[in-house]
Amino acid sequence: MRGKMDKILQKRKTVKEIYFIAILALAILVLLGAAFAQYLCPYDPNAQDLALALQPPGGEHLLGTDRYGRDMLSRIIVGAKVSVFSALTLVAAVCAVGTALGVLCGFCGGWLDEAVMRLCDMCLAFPGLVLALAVAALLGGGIENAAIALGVVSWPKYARLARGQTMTLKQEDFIAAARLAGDSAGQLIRRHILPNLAGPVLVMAALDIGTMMMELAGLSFLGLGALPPTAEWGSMMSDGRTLFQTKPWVMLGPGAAIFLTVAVFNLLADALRDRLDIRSMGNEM
Amino acid sequence: MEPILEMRNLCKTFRRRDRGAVEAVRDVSLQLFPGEVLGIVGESGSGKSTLARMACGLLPPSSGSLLVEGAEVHCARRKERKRLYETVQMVFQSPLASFDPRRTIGYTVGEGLRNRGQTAGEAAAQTQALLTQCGLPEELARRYPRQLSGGQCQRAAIARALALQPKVLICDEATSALDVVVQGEILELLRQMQRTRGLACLFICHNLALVQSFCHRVAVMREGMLVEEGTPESVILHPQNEYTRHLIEAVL
Ligand SMILES: Nc1ncnc2c1ncn2[C@@H]1O[C@H](COP(=O)(O)OP(=O)(O)O)[C@@H](O)[C@H]1O
Ligand SMILES: [Mg+2]
Repeated sequence: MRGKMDKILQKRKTVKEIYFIAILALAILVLLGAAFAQYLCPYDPNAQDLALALQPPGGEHLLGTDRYGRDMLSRIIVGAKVSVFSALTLVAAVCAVGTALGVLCGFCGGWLDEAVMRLCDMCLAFPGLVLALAVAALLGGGIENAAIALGVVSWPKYARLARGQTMTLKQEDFIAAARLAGDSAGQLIRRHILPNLAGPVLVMAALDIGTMMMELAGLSFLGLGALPPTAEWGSMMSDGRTLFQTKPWVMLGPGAAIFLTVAVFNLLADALRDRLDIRSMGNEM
Repeated sequence: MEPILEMRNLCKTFRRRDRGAVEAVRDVSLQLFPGEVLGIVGESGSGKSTLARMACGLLPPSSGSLLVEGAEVHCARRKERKRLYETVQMVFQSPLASFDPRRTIGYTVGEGLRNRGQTAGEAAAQTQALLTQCGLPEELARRYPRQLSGGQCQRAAIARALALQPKVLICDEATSALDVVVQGEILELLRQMQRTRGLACLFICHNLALVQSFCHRVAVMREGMLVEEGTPESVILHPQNEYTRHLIEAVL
């Protein structure tokens, strides 16, 4: 009876392991594809040929062409570079800044904690879109400026998570024991606090990659992000908007690319959460 | 003889946002002499753990002073705290909670040694020796805390505390979380280490039978105050204080 249960559990574990590795492989594939995008395109993504404008999918151009006769497939592949890497850079930066501040606040407390938490509240009070508009008005368009606007509203999430985790960890006996072993504050944070909060923070970051891609694409769609002729999925969708009734592929291609890539990163985040066995994430948020 | 650790009028008040202040420890004065085992008993919430944390510098007292070998230690200063840690070490109640789940046993036991300037190799060798002394197989150094039983974990915790060659060992209910058989084994290990190393021991416990067999002297705490102090015989067999009598009756 027991042996059977164990076997089933073992099998379930193996299946989960395979699933995790498959998802991870898929995500890495997407990253590699984005990194070497220029070598993967069948055509020059920016070459215009008005004679070939708005070709339907199939034939020479697998996913059709846009209104300037540019190859959709090539533009989608090259667009991955902008979309994926700007989201990745943004998440990495926001995660690093937010976590560092959160750990400091949770560990030191006092006026620093108060000040940073008030700053968090202020940043969260801004609606992201309005801020993006303001930044675009001040600094001009471009995907970097859209990323700055998104970064300002999203670091507090990490700061709060890291702060809550740090405050909980600080009460643990193993931290007291490490103090007795002579660890300084810096050593406590480096050796014991950061490794123990890395799990939840990583899961949050993985989830955020998808969200950030969507939001960046959204801002680009509204004309607040990537500027033409840069191939970027959001602005490509925006290009196809008026043609949607008659030539739907111009909008559906980049739309599907966003959907699939976001799905891969969200599945990765879920699998990561399962694997790290993080049940109560977000309690402190 | 000069006490190795002396608490003079220690008080600790916790201020809470919701329900005012808690006086966890009120005006406790105790002396611990070299090689002596001093038991502290009291119901839960009587301030034993708070006193233990103050005695090893983890918690700054609200008032009162702490003396090590006759010299006062100011726990607010990092240098002096470090000096205190060289004399006083602690074994915690929950064996598992006192180990970082993301670090191996070997890392944790050797951490203090590396902090004191030993190389990784020296620390690892000494860690192995300590684990063996505490009755653990050497390969345990590579395992993670959750892969150990409660008893093994507590042995490792004792190894970690002894690694820094303290003169005083504080055991805050070090056997309470374990089942009876393992409790006996851990107690035997503590007794052996206490004797061979001539440790002074602050042994916090709520099992009066244990206290009677292990301690040279017993102090009884209630609501943060010391209510009785004396040899185990006098305190347990002829309690002077009403509360102590209650405590003994509750056990029998
Ligand atoms: N960090 C803390 N903050 C607030 N109150 C505390 C804290 N630690 C202990 N207390 C309170 O102090 C009292 C004594 O607790 P403790 O020293 O843990 O007792 P014991 O170890 O004898 O069970 C309890 O009422 C407890 O609620
Ligand atoms: Mg206690």
